[in-house]
Amino acid sequence: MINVDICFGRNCYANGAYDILPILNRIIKREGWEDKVKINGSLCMRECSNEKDISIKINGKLIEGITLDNIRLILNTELKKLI
Amino acid sequence: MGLFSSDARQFKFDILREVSEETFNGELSDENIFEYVKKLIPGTKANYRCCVYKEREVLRQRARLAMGKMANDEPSYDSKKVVQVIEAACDGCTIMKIQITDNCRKCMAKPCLSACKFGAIHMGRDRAVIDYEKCKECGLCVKVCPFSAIITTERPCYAACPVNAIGFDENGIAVIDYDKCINCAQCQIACPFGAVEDISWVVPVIQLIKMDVPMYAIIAPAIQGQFESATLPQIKKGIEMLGFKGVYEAAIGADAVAYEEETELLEHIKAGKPLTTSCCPAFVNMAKLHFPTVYENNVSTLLSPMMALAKKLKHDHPEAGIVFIGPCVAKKQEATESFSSVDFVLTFEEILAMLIAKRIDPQTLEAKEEDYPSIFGRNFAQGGGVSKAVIQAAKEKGHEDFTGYYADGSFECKKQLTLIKVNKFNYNILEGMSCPGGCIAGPATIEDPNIIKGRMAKENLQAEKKTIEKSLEIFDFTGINIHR
Repeated sequence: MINVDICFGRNCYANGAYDILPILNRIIKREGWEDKVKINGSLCMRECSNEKDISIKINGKLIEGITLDNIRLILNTELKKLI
Repeated sequence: MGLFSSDARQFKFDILREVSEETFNGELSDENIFEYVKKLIPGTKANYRCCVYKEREVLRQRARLAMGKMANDEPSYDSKKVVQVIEAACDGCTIMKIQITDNCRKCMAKPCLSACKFGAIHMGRDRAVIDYEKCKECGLCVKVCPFSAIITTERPCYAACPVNAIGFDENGIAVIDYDKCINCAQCQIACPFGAVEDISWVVPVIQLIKMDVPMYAIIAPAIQGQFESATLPQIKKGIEMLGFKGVYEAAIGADAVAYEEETELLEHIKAGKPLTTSCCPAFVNMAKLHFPTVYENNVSTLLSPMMALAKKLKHDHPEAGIVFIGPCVAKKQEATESFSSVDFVLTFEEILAMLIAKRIDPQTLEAKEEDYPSIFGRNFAQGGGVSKAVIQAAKEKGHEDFTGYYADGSFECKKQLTLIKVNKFNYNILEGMSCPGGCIAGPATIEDPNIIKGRMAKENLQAEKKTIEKSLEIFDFTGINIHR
């Protein structure tokens, strides 16, 4: 099982962490990864680097530079690497 | 009939409830919430503004704030902006401070003319006329008119701001200067159009609960009596049913703070400088931003009760989220301080919105009585309660009595801080409360403060008469540094 942790700290939430959920859910459904990927919520990961970023960890590893604009591409490639 | 007498506040509440419900059900999206907003303003006949389209736009911006987004479609989040002006909602109301009304009879004495030192008044065809180029807004003409024909009007937000943080743009829309703003939200209370509102974190809190992240709630003492006849144990039970792992009274932290504060006070007395309290975040902000020397020398280094208890809970449950539930908007900013253990702050109206969204009525719940904090800790919610608790701590420790002054409301706070700054404050301790009456009159309360006072007194009368020391025996703060 691949664990995707999404940060719901105040900054990441404001940058669109909530809006990532439907996007991620759509990717999972399209690829049929329901049994392979688990989405978790996280408190502030204390990784706030860039003001616009949303902190996401895949299997505990922080994926840097995620924003609402590039989320689809990054999640797709990062998850495909692991599956 | 709605819960609130102000329609603007009722709309805000309805939207918070809808946002909460949609988040609980996993259905929240911009489209869904904006669809709901349209339902709140049906048809084509406007009731409040020039047209229904403007009314809907105002509600759309309210929905953004309820979802934790910036008002006015601002794209990037700014944590400094806790209190925001909804531009569409701001009426750009009158800025002419002094006005002459129809009551003017063009009398023969014309006291206004002779009272004006700036030659700004002359007699017009029907009444006296003010030349606003010359008027200095001193108000002398208002005082001397025998017919009360001259009135003073100030923008409610501007008049309510103790630190002159409110200005206006070229269209007369209110603008907050965030370098001056202390987040006291007095402008929010004052605006009759509900154009100044606070940003909400209901969505991330509900989402984290749904994703099984353990969350603990700390409730401000002013919560007693806010939900009709619900008792404190029933309120705690109701909040627990929303999915919180535990609900604790901030009054426990208040007991710990009062006990420590007494020690700090003795040091201050020895050093010959007054101490000011640190539990009201807007008061602390006022000192920090506008009286830096007082902040340096006089403000207590103790954490607020919220922060102290949050630190203790975070120490005991490092994996858990801490949510403070209070009547206060400034707490939302306090939670962003670097030394904060509070993850999110919700207000009473937000927690009520969540309760209604989950169809939980605390009044109907079976809840068992359990009693932690002292009455002194609980009375932090009422103006003057903090100094009383510190006096009680002194009594319990067998120390001498001392003198305290309670500054009721932000303007009084400003006055007393000025006195400390110029060494003219003649008491040992200054208790500052930004809201007149204390936390029970906070911007996000639900019930009238006078009703709350009665309900608090009634419920606490039945509670065990406990000393602060006794309360701290039950909830041990040993090993927790409760200084900032």
